[in-house]
Amino acid sequence: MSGKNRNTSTFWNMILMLPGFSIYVLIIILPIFMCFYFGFFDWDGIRDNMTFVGLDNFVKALHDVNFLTSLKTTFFFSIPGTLIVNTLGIVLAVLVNKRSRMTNFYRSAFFFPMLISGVAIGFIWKALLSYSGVVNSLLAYWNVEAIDFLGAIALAPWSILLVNTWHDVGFVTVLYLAGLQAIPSDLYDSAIIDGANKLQQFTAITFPWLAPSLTSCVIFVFTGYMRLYDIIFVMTSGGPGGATETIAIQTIRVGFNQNRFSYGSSLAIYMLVIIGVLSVAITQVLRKREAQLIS
Amino acid sequence: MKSSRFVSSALCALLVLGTASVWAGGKADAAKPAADTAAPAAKAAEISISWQVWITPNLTRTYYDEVVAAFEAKNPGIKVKIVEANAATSGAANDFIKMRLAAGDVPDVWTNLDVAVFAEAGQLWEIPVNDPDLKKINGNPMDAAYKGKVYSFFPSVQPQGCMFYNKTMFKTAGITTLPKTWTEFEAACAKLKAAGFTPIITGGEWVPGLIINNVLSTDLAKNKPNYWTDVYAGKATFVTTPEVVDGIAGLQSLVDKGYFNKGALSIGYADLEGQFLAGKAAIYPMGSWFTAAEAAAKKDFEVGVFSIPTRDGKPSLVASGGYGSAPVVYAKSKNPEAAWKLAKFYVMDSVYGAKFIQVDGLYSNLNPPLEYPMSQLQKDLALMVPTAKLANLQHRLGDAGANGFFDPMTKVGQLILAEGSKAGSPATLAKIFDDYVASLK
Amino acid sequence: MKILARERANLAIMNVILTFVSFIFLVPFYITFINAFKVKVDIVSSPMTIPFSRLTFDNILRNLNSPNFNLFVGYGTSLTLAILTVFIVIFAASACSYVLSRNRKAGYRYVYLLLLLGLMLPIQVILLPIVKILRVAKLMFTIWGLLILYIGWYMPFAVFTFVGYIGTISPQLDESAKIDGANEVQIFLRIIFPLMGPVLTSVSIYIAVWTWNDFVSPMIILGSSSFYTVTMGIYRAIGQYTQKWDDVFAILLLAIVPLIVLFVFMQRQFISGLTAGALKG
Repeated sequence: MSGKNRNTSTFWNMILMLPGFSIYVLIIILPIFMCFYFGFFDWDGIRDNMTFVGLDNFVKALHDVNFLTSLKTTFFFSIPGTLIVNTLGIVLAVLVNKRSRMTNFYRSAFFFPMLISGVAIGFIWKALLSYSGVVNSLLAYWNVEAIDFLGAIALAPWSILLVNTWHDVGFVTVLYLAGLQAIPSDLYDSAIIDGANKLQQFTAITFPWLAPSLTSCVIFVFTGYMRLYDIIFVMTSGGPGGATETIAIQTIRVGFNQNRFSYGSSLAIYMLVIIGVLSVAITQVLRKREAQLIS
Repeated sequence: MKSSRFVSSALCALLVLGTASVWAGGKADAAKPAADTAAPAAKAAEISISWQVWITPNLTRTYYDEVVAAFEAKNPGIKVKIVEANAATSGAANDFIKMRLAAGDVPDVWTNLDVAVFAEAGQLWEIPVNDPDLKKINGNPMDAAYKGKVYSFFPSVQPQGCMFYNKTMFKTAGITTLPKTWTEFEAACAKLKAAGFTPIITGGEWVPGLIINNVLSTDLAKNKPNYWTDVYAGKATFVTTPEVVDGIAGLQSLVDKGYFNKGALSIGYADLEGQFLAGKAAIYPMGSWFTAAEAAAKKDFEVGVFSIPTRDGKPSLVASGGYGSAPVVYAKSKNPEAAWKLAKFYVMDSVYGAKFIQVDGLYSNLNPPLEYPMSQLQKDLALMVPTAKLANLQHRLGDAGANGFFDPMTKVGQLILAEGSKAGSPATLAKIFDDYVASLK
Repeated sequence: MKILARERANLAIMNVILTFVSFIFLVPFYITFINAFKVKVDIVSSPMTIPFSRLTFDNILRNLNSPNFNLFVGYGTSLTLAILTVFIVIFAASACSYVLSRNRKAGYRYVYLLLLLGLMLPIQVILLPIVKILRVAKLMFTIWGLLILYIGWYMPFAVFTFVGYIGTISPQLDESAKIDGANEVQIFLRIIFPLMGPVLTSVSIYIAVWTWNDFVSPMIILGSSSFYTVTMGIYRAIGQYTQKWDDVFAILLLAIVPLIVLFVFMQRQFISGLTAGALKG
């Protein structure tokens, strides 16, 4: 391309890109910078003024046992969660991608949890899983002893994982369904002629062509689970005894409940860096795979 | 999508956008607070203040509207605008006010927040200590001072270290005297368990924090009234304080012996209250606000109360001085005097002040006290109030407590309830408190 | 014939599994629905059953008729916000995504990675700084402020989804159009955007649903202005000290019902949008 072409290309690209991107910078990037800035002070979130403390907050965070524990807890949710949700999502999308009377029903069923907000989901599942809740009533009916899903330190994280995956499978299923539409049907036709069975069709055509959807869905679920807050807050508030305390819950609790906004901001920046580094790495790997598979 | 459909949907969008913006714009202008731009000539004497209220199932918007109407009637020239805060996003009004400070639109009068926190941040208006109305309060206005300055007062007393109990169950289990020492308490629980009852009921979320707060404060308030001052001065640590370590051990012992209800940690507060009132357990450690619900509930047994037992049997009832229930005034309020009038009216007015304490099961700290029709339980508790110690770890024990101390208390409380002694030795758990205080420095 | 029988058996098994899975997805919704019409005692004692003799509309009516909550203002505000957010995000994000999908080098790559940042923090962490920014922009306590917040907040999600999808549209189409002299904007509007049907539909629905259900941001940004969203008015009643199940479920139902109505009406569009080429499998 000649220099002139490249410049006009860039010009038009900017026209397309800048409106959305500028609002994003104003609402997200700028506040993140502000949080970073506040981390160098000792602000409690209330005062009119604040004192500069340099790197104190950031250094303190490195020794913060609570923060490190919450990081471990967060990974407990994010790694299995991402795997489970995406696997189920792809499987369900493929199974449901036909035109038949039942599939309308299935599609609606999978999508329904998404219509309800995270907070409401938390309330509903809390009613189901609490010690005197619905599930335990059913168990009692069958003479099984009640299980403390949300109050037992060992069980609570699993219950939270269950509720979150329940909520999000539908979300990715819908996105994968959309992605399935983009796969050219003649690929399947030639495969069938070649005698490929369903499984082979899946591994040779469907899965590779879902690569772009996979990239975005994995990133959504991973980042979503790394910053898990709403549902946990309503169901266990990070308890019992901190067993389900994710870094998001910790950060917000420190920043707001404990009135230590600057320290909370420094935790938030660490959270950002950790999730950022991991997400960028994952994105790079998946995008490379995308480029290889779809050329 | 064909291009014609695209064009028509784009037109649709523009129409919607256009209409919505005109409509929204018009209404938004009407909605903008008129405040300073209100025609000054109109009512020269009219002062406008805003009041951040705290909405609960008992303290509804309708109730606050009534209070405002009554106040405005008695104070012509002051207009009050209500700003609502509630527990949907946070436990107290702290976060709400923080957002308002950031937004630059701050109410003049605030209710239900941590006074010490905002006093420390310099956002509160110092109240006039010589105000004759303050003479109506029992005790010295300086009792409510924070670092030597006074921003609030104690219009009421809120006993927190209460153990409510089911009188019928106690009788059936053969308990004739109320326990005063911890040993007696465990013995009573053993009797209750032998009789087939669940001895103690409690719940999850913030309740374990309340329990441990009150249990530890009971002995500390009696023996070491200046505890926080000592802690800050490095003269005391939680790990080396016997009241703390013994208190934790005592709770763990109760858990180990199975005296608490199963699945306590997953019960929410409202369910918890409901379960006790439905007769599911014998003893219910809770604060005095429960008496309001008890008075209204239909049940088939009578409820009695005793205070949390102490190590040596000498009675000690911890209470919160309603520190925070009296409204406070914003430091930069444009009309602090008017705001102060409202703050006083809310809790000291003979009609509404009385309603306020009735609704929350509080006890009037005024002289003469505001009266409301009390239930038998409330009268029983009232007998213990005069000797109640206005101190608990969370709010105040010699000096203001550590910022956000309720968080580690909740965590330790939950750990104890979940695992009893398996959660760790009392010293290990007490260290969590010390670590927290150290991290604040 | 054997093959046919086996295929039919497989289909049957799959249907059973899918139906079972569907029920798992729907049960919590069933619970919300029936309990909204039950008296509190019934809810607590047997949440799963439907005591036909004791059903009541009282819960719903009680929560509709609050003096400071006008249902029409609530629904109107929520609807306006949802529609505006969806339209603006769809256009702004798809345009941006086109650029980012086709250009992966240098500056564009950094823009893409910057957009990742928006997915890494829960909104509560940056809410206070956002409030300060909106205050300076004189947009606090206005619908516009909230709208700007939503647009910024949903950009990353929309962009990532769109980029993922545009990746499957062959760049050959771009090339041939360029040869014909079209610029990027024309290529986007005439070729790419029309092909994005399925993903535009799904993203629109998600953003509409999320905007509709959100109540933390409206509560903070709109405060006590005369505007309030449905969820705001409704969540005022759910507090830390309340688990009045009869109110809670009625309230949740009131919040969900419009979305379900929308969903039922849009089913056709939604399904045809999502499965435009479902002749395979």
